[in-house]
Amino acid sequence: MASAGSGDEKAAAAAMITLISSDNEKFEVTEATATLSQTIRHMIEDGCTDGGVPLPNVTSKILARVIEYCKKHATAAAGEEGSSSSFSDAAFLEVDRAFLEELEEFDDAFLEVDRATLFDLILAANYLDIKGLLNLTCQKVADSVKGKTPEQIREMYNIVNDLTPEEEAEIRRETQWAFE
Amino acid sequence: MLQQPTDYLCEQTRGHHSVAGTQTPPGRAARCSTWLNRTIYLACRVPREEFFPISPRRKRNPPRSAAASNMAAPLRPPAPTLMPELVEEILLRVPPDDPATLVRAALVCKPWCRVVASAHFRRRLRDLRRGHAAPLLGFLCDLRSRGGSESLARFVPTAPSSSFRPPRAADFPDLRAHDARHGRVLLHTYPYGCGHPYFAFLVWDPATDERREIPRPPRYPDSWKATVLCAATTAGGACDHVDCHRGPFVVVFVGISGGGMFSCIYSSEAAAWSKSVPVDHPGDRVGWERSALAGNALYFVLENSDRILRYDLGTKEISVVELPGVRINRVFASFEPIELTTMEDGRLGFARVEGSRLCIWSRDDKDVGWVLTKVIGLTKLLRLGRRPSDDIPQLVGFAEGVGVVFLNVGHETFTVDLKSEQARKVYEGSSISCAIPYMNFCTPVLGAPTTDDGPRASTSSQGCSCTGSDLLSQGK
Repeated sequence: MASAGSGDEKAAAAAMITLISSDNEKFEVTEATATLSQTIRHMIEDGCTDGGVPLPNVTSKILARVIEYCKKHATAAAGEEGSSSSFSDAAFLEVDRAFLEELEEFDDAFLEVDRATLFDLILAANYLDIKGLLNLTCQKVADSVKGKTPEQIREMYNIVNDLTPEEEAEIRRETQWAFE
Repeated sequence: MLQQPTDYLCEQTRGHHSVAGTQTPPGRAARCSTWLNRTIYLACRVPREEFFPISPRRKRNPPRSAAASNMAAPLRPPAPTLMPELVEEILLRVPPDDPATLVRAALVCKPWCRVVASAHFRRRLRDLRRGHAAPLLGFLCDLRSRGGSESLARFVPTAPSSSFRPPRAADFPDLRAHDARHGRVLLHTYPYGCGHPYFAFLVWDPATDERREIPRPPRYPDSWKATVLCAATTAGGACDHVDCHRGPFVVVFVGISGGGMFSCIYSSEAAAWSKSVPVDHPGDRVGWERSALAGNALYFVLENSDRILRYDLGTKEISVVELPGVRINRVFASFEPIELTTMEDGRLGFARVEGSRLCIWSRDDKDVGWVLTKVIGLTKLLRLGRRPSDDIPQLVGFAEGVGVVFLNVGHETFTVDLKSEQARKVYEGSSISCAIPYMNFCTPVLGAPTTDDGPRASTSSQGCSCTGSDLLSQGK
């Protein structure tokens, strides 16, 4: 587990939070990064983060990806706050636009993962209550099922059909338009 | 539901961080109640086997040791299971003009079907869509046979952008498309009031295929225009029009006869027309163009006039609004067609084609004059000048709220998106004289499997919408 360290080290790492994955790997992140997760934000508010935050539902592989997302978006949030005072300044608006484009590119690249990882990210985003990440990953799955047949969706996500033939036939009969 | 061997479930839980298999951080239960409650809530609420049924293929294979798994790693790792809450989060993000994907998702498995069928899901969709313009799902137009004597009103989907199709045949012989609003379509007999002895209008809900015949208004007009609306619009009630197409409606009728102008309203609740109200009219004929709803008033085009009618839905009074004088074609001494619309900010607007330019006008800030808000060149967009025959663009419709204009060029019909300034061909065939846009949020209504006893299981109590099935509600 994370060591308490000496007094000086404590002061230096005052704004740092240790996250511990299900396979016991530790990740040091800034508070700004960690608080993109509402779950962790509540823990910090409740003073529950001494000695690290165990996340028994998130593996190190997924936690590393989640932290990567949070770091990028925490920087974006800080940038927005910093530029808000000079909102009318065209140069700042230009910087903002460039940053938003970069953020979009980051998000697109971030989603280039296999389907199992995508589901793992959804579960982690839900568990850690990171709205932006949940929205991003769920939208990716929603986009992936667009125009697909039920059989293709099952195949993509390894789901078995447990509807009875009668149930399926009845829905299909009533919704024939959706299959034309 | 398939029963899973306990050891297999444990293996699954270890393999992925199942929410059901939550491990409590030691010594923190009392202090970190918020965090833990979230986990425990999910763990208690969702039985493991309810997430996703486990594939029989995987079920037949007994769990292997870690070493064996490493030696024969599957080519594609199985996707982790998602709780219904997360399936719901995914399906909420299916675009509103793609209801077919929701129907197909419901056929994936029972848990997905329950999500789509649940009243909770429909409520959340409604909340998400409130305040947003309904998507353009298609349009209605009148098609004529080659001889030109027979007519057919038809629903044409704006595929591929929209996957919506009416559940049953959408052809109406002997009827003409007249108006559409708030999820309902108004068709009329042709010639007006003839052909069908019992009704002059038909109100059709393309989502449910419900059809309602409406008798002739109390007075016979020389020229007229009718509009179908959600009943709350005239009653001054609050309706977001997200899911009101199964509710009561009204038809507002404005006619001009030798005796003067009059108006009357049909109410679906009263199943009757109101008495006709005479109006001091400006001496014109009501145009055939679709009316526009802006604020608490309907606006009607007048034939050969640079004025339009304003019908106040509250007071039922009619007044006249002057146009900016752009309708007059001085060369031919005629009036050019316009299409009224509601702008994104709710103001009244209209479109007009001037040569090869599409011009959009809207009421000014003080609502006393007009301002030209947008001009789009059509030559490149519609490849004008490259057709062997007639390629003068003609204005045939305007989908308010979504900012889409319908234009005919020869025998082709295009939509022009005012925001993206992109054009798309949506129809090719016999030339159509008007395109009546159909915009609606169309959410499938399904029955849910009764094997789910939870509060999410629900069956439609209001009939069906895009889909309808109550077989699932009978369980197995």
